[in-house]
Amino acid sequence: MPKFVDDDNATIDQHKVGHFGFTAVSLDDLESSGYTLATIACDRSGSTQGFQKPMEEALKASVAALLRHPNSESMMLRVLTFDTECAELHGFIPLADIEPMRYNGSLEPRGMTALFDACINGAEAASEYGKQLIQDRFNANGILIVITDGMNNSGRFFQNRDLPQVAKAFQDTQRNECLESFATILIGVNLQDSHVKTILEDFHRQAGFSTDMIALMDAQPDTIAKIGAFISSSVSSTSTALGTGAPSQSLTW
Amino acid sequence: MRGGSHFVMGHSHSVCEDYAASTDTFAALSDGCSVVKDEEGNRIDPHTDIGARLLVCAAMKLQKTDPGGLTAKIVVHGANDARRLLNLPEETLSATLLMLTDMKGYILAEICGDGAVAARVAGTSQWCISTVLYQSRPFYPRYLLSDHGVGDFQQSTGGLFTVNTTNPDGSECTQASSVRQRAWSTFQYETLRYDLVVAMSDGAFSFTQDGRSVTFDQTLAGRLLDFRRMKGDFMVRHLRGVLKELAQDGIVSQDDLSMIALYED
Repeated sequence: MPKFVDDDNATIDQHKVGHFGFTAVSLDDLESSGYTLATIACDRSGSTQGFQKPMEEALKASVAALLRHPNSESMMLRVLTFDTECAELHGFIPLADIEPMRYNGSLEPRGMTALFDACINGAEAASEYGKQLIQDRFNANGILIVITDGMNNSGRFFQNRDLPQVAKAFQDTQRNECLESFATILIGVNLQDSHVKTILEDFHRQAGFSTDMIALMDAQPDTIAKIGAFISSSVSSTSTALGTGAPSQSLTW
Repeated sequence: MRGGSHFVMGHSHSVCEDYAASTDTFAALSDGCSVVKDEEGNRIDPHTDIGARLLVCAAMKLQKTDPGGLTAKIVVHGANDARRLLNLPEETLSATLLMLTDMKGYILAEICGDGAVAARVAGTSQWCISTVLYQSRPFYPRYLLSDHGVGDFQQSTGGLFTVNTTNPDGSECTQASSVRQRAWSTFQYETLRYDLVVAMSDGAFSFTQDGRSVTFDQTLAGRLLDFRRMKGDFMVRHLRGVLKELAQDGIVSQDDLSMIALYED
């Protein structure tokens, strides 16, 4: 796993909570009055072959764009990748500590699609870390963006009957004591197979994502680049709402 | 050493008349008077929110040129120069002034007017808390602008105030005094013994619950002084968070509340 934090003074804590655990910069090292916790869960199953490089570029572009945002010091990013299993590429760390070039090669396609695991992992970590932040009087809100080209068929929660667990994880995170607000966004990529599209739409509805599903019919470089721009505008919008207690402005593709 | 400051408008106020600022070695707050009368006794609007800012800005500026030697008298003369430039009435400076200075070995707290200062015993949650309360309206540094200001204040109000101190061991002492004896109160806290010194405006004495006054006792002080993570914007997080938690229990500050702190980490 690439090292994402250059600052030797920053301490990364391991949190063994929920089904998967997570890492995050120590609360002792945080200076801002509040943080937007952004999580990107990116599919790298075998079927993403061919657009993994544009997706890595989109990730890098979104981080670079967010670093230019006036609220960048109040943003933390966590990136998950999922194939047969869900893995944490890096935990919640301030944007300034991320070297975007280190996303190179991080989305090499392999295996199956642990979509439910990624959603539950993303929600549980945001919930727990958000709760800790608010307990220590930081403002905190969150956004989870899940990008996939397929349907759930792997991981700890690999069965369809596990879907309520995703809905529960989302609901738990939207409780006030965890985060001021928590937006969940599902982006379906390369949905040329109508069967896959229907299943993803059904998953989107039953899991209770907070915004409409974004269904992209192709995975052309231009389309993937738009995902990067969407990530940065969504995280920016969430950050602008930080401290107001309100959700971010409705996000449109 | 690390400094912090923040101010929040009171529940009954439409304009925040408190102001606060800090560096890592110095912090100042000022609380502008809400009701000011002219010489004929008519209520006037002297914009004491501006006066509070002038006092704090003067303190921040003058502290750089005279670290350790700053007094309320020096500060108010600096603020008065700015007031004159703005062509504002002298009543604009009807505001208290509380300052904390890192004196290398101890923290000096100065209170001109009313308010509270608290020092935490290092490595514990025990505090030494002192309050300065006037029998009538508080003494403002602006009375130091003229030779007869202190006397006039004493004549019109009695000029009496008390300093109540609760020590870390729970013992208490009360000291009555007069502005004729000392126009401002000073407190010294050795940094070997105390790691955090906090000063707050008299908004700390203005909390109400269900319309009834909440006494500034050990319980309320304990909640107001429940500091957590101490990096970066710690005072912003602290004051905002504490007021939110108190509000959840129906306890609200009617007056503006400002806090400043110096912390030895």
